[in-house]
Amino acid sequence: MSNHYQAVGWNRQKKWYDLILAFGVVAYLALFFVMHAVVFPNATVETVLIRGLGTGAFLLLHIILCIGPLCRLNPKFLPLLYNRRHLGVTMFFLATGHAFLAFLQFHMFGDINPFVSIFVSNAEYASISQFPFQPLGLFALIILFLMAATSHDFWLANLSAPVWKGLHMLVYLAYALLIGHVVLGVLQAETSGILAGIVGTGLVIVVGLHLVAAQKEAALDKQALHGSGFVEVCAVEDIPMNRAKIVVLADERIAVFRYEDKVSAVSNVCQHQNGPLGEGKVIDGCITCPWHGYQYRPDDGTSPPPFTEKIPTFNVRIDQGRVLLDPKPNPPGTPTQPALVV
Amino acid sequence: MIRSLRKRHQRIFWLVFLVLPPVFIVGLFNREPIPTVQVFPEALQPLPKAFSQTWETIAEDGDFSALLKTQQSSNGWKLQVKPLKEAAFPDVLVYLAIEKSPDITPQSLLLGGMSGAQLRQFHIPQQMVEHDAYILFYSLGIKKMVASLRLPAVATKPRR
Repeated sequence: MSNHYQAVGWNRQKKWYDLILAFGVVAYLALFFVMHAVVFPNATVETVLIRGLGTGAFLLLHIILCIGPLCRLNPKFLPLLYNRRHLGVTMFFLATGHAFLAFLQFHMFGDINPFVSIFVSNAEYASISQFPFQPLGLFALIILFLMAATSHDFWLANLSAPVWKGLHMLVYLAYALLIGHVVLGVLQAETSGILAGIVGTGLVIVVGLHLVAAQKEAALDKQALHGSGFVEVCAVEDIPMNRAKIVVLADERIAVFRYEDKVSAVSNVCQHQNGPLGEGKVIDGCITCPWHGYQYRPDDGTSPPPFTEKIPTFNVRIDQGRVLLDPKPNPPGTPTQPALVV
Repeated sequence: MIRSLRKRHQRIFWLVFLVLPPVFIVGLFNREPIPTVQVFPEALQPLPKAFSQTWETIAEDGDFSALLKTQQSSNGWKLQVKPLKEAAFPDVLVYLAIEKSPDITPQSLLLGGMSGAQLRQFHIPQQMVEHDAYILFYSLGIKKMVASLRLPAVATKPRR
């Protein structure tokens, strides 16, 4: 959490995260190069690099895409989410290296414009198996560039979280394009089933995890409570100390926190990246987002100074051990009276 | 994540679930067979000599001089022209003609272009083989014949 922009707000966790990431990338490439030299001793350096960088980027994209649903299914994966954007930027650089070398090797030295060559060197656009796979990779790379370029909090704050999230959902289109790029590219020449099996398994894992997580979220949304005036949402005992119970009221999620001898309710949506505040906990008297540690005071939904983020609050009452909520949100940062637990 | 984005995410992944696995399977099952060599062929036989019979001379016309060389190859006669110094004329075209003439005639056969002192190789049309002929150098830039070099019949005559 930072109240001003800087390239990277380094802290101990981020340093460890990036150190492990860098080690993982270097170890993967080294292992790939050694194995490639054993299996394909006649391959040129350019070919090995193209393959190593391409497979590294594709593998990293799978890891990135699995982190979100894994966190929805099990909070133990949340540390992976903390600095996920560095994974994304690293993946973009690996993909760019792959694309640049392929561009250089296959298109740069011809007698037509190399950018045109990507689209016309294979013109079998009516074919299924022979469909040009390189334009698919190029379009995916453009999307990955847009995401990497707007990954900083500057863009998140200026585009607003919903727009930024919407833009970054293009990663799913990029993933679909890359599956096409791989299936119509390398898998057309690869006769053994090993690579096809690996890609197919990755596809099943990514799609399966996202569908399971999405179904779980949809099931929670279906438990929406309706009513006017104060609506009973749960018993005080249902809320763990310094934690929250998430309820769905008026088509949006509300996090009802219990702390000290009080109960307060705020929007479940963090202002930073729309993280689930209700899955966080109260630390030092502040609700702390489980994704990136953004903090808000439970009674007025504002971040402690010098920070300026604000979230909507909700009026709350306790009646005979039952928690009652007014579904109408207060404007972001509005102070409310916490309900006292007798 | 807010509810609208959650719904969008769910719809996207149902779409991905419906589209990508079929694309993956169709892509795999439509693979074109790649021929593989099971048995290595016999060791390669020595290649026949690509060129046989050569003739060469240095010919000149005024300030222009060139090394001329003919070779018989499996698909006809080749003529190599290597100017001994830069041909300082713009857009030089090289023709072959039976007769020497101050201009290009309909009977002149275009062999190709030439520039500077670069070595150029041309195919000699079959109808010019075993004929006395002239190599004509015509500057398209100044619209003028700049040199004519004699190519005797012996240059394209098979040796006995």
